[in-house]
Order: sequence, then structure tokens, then C-alpha cells
Amino acid sequence: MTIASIDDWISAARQIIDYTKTVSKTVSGGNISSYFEVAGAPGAGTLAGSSTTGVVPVDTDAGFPKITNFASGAIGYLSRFSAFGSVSGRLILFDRLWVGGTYAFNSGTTVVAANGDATPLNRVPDNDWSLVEAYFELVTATTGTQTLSLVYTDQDGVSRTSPTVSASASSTVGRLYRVPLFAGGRGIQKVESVVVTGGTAGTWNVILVRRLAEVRIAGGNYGDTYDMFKVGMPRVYDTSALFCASQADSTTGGIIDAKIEIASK
Amino acid sequence: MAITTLAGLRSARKHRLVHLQNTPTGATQGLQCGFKEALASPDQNGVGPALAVLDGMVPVSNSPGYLNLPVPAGSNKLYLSRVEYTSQLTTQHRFEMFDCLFVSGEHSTNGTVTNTYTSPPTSWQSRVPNYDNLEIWIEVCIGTAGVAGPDLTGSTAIVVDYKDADGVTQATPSFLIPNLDAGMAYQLPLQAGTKGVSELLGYNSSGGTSATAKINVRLMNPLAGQSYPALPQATSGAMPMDFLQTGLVEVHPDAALFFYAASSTSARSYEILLELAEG
Repeated sequence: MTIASIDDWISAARQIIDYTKTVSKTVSGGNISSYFEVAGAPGAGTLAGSSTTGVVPVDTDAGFPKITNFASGAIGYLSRFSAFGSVSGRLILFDRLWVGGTYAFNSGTTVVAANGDATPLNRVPDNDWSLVEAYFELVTATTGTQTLSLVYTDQDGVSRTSPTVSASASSTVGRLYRVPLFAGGRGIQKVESVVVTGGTAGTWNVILVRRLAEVRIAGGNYGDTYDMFKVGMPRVYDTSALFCASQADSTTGGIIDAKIEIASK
Repeated sequence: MAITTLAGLRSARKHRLVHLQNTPTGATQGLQCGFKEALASPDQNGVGPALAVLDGMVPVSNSPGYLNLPVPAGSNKLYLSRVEYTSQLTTQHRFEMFDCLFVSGEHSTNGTVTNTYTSPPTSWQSRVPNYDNLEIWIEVCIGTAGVAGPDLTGSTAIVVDYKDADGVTQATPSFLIPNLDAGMAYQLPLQAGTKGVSELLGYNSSGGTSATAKINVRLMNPLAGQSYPALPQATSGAMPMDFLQTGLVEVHPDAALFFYAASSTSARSYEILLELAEG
């Protein structure tokens, strides 16, 4: 079954999922930062990845909100997203598809060969690899400017090396650096290796995510509720590892509060 | 029978309930601490009714201080199909509506306080489909709301004992709350790595020095929320939510509707109109 009409949505099984982080954190103003490790409901997760060859997180892992299993044969959709924040910025909802780490700084060295085949992405609708975004996620503080790049398999199965990302020495823990794609590329199937150069300290995760929704927080103590038409009803799985990232306008990340409605039929 | 189609919603009986808060509520501060109201009596003034239930109680819709909901006919259910929220507050803020499932209080904040609930009631469990997304809140409930200056003093650290969604006993991480005025509220974080709340077990605090300030503990099931714009839109205007924005969420006939808002430090009056579709 699918949800193909408003009637289908009305008659669908719907669940509201809470994603609240009850304390603020210092962030790199104007840049995206994970809140995965911050206290709240669900309780804090562990930011550091558990395997340099990568794992596929699921909803029952620590730090992710639990999703009630869909009925047999039912398909799930994000049908409503309420996002609020105590400071202005943007709140983004992701499905965390894959995480590898942690990878230490190591000047001029290929840190690890991460075999994406061992943990293939399994929550990408229609294997549309253009839906997959890659980020470097800072786990422990760095010293010195670091340069990061990713070797990955693109949408056509070709090995590519991303343009480099320069990470500021003052990056805050949880900071997410978007990995740019090889010129002309449009997707990522898997991670092959991670290269970090420069600096003398610091560790990183690489995460692959699928963006589900985003809401602008136009001011402090503000936000919005997007209905099914505004969120576009992207597909959600009952194993999806949902988490929110914040792109606060200033260095105070603030408190975030999201309610996520998933309709399944 | 349930509402399963747009035509069914259109033809459903609509109950309209209005809550008017015509006495300005107390000062507020920050996202997680705002004025709060049981959706009923217009004279709560951001404080709420006094409690004497240290072991907790399960409020229902006809409990004093809550909005008395209509009783649906036969096997019908109630769905939140529309909300109109009007506020005289001239700055942007947000509001959120809950079913308050459990409340205990008023707990002392003076010194080291341990209050393990004796046989805490669990009848609220029939009002939720599961325990995965329930929230624990605390609120300051004694003091003179709206008067400058904190009613809570010292460095009050709150811990609430609970069982998570899997039935495992947990404790919230110690949470140091600011010296809030009465009516202020905070959502507590859950223990790292855990999800949900299936039972509340007790209240603990330490470090507080106020002989008068007290704390209530609430277990909340979130229903709907929205933001309210700043001037000029806010002046005696309304912020409607249609059924797509409320999610047509089912409201249990016993639900003890409760309302939190987060804003700046201004006081305000407000009005909430709820439409409940029955079908």
C-alpha cells in the first residue's frame, strides 16, 4: 500500500515522534552542527562512530527516537514536521544512513579503507544515490587547520575523490562539514576511504545521510509546523535513524524541539 | 466509527471548546520555560491548581482545572481538527499542547528532597499507543507569578526516577534549573541512550534554598504545536492550525489537555479555540 490521497493519509496509521534537546551547545555560527550527543529525549547518543569500516544505524540504537513498526506491507512517509528553537537558525531532519569512525587526524595518510560493501545503504528509495549526502562530523576537537577528503563510489559505480574540505581549527564538536562531490557527480553509493591531513589532534566521523525536512527558525522561541504538502512526504522506514542538526545563526545553538509525524499505510 | 476520509471529516460532528485566559500570565523566559495552563479555568494565572498528590495522580478531562471534553457517542473517537490561538503578546513565541497523563506535587525544593512514589497510578497508560515519545516536565508551582524576581532560589538540581519504554528503571540526568518564577516549566532530558517513559517512580532535588517554592512533575503526551508571529500580525489576531497541521491527532476522551508556551519575558492574555471532530 501507499499513501496516494488525503483520504489515505487520514486513514493511515500515524505516530508522533519527539526529538527534543533540552540543553544548548556552542556551535560554529552559521554552520550545521549535529545535536546527536546532546541530552534530551531521546537521551544523548554517543557521537564517536564504533567502526572504521562503518555501520548502518537503526532507530533502536541509542540516541535515535524509536519508530513503531509499520504494518506488514505498509510504507511510511514523513507527513508533518514541527520544529522550534530558542535561537534563530535552521533545523534539519536527517536519516543517518551510515556512520564510519572515528578517524584520527594523520598528516598525509589515508586513515582507513572503509569498505562500504560490508554495510550497504538500505534506506535509499529506488537506489536514488543523489539523495545521499556525505558529511565529516567532528568528534573531538582539532588543533590546526585540517584538510579532509573522501574517496567514494558515485552513482554510476565509479570511484571518485571528493574535492578537499578545509576544517577550521576552531571547529566545535559536532560540526558537520558537507563533502562536495566530484565535478559532474550527483550521488554517493558508498565510502571507500577517508583522508585527513594537517593538524595535530582531533577525530572525525564520516556520515552518510538522507535529508528529510528542514524548517527555518525565524527568531528566538519560534519555528513552524509543516504539513504533508510542505514536507513533501519523503519516504521514511521503520528502521530510520532520525536525528536533527541545527544551523544556528550565531554561536549559541540553543534548545531545539521537534515533533515528527510519520504516516504509514 | 473512526474518521478515515476527508468526506468523513467534513460530515463529522464538530465540538468547539474555547479557553480564555483573560488575566495576563506571568513572566516567562526561554524556550523550555514558559507559562503553562491546564486548558480550562480562566483564572489559573500561569500557576495552575495547587496539588497535594506527592505520590502522583492521573488527571482526566473532568478533573478540576482541566477542560471537560465531550463524551463521544458509541465507539466514536475525538480528533483534533483545528486550533485557533490568539495572544496579546507582541513578540513571537510558540505554544504546544499536551495530554497531561500524570502529575505529582507539590514537591519541596528546600535542601535535599527524596520522594519515591508509593504505588504510582498507571491508568494513564490506556491513553497512549506506546511509551516511546512521552515527555517528563517539571514546573515551579508556588510563588507570585508575574512579579519580578525568582521564586526558586539556590541551585536546584532535579532528578526524576522513571522506567524507560522498555521497562528499565532509569533516572534523568541531574538538571540544574534556573531560579524561575512560578509557572515556569522545563522538559527534562532522559538518561543517555534511553528512549521513552513507561512509568514515573519518584522526584529528587538538591541544592535549593527556598522554603516556599515547590515543584510539580508532569508526564506529557505531545499533541500539537505551532509558532505565533510577532507584531503586527499578533495583535488580537489568530494563529489557526487546520487538520493537516494538527495531524488530526486522536484526543482521548479522558485527556487532560495542557498547554505550554515559550516566549520572551512578557506577560499576556490569550485565547485558544479547539475543534474536536467526532467520528
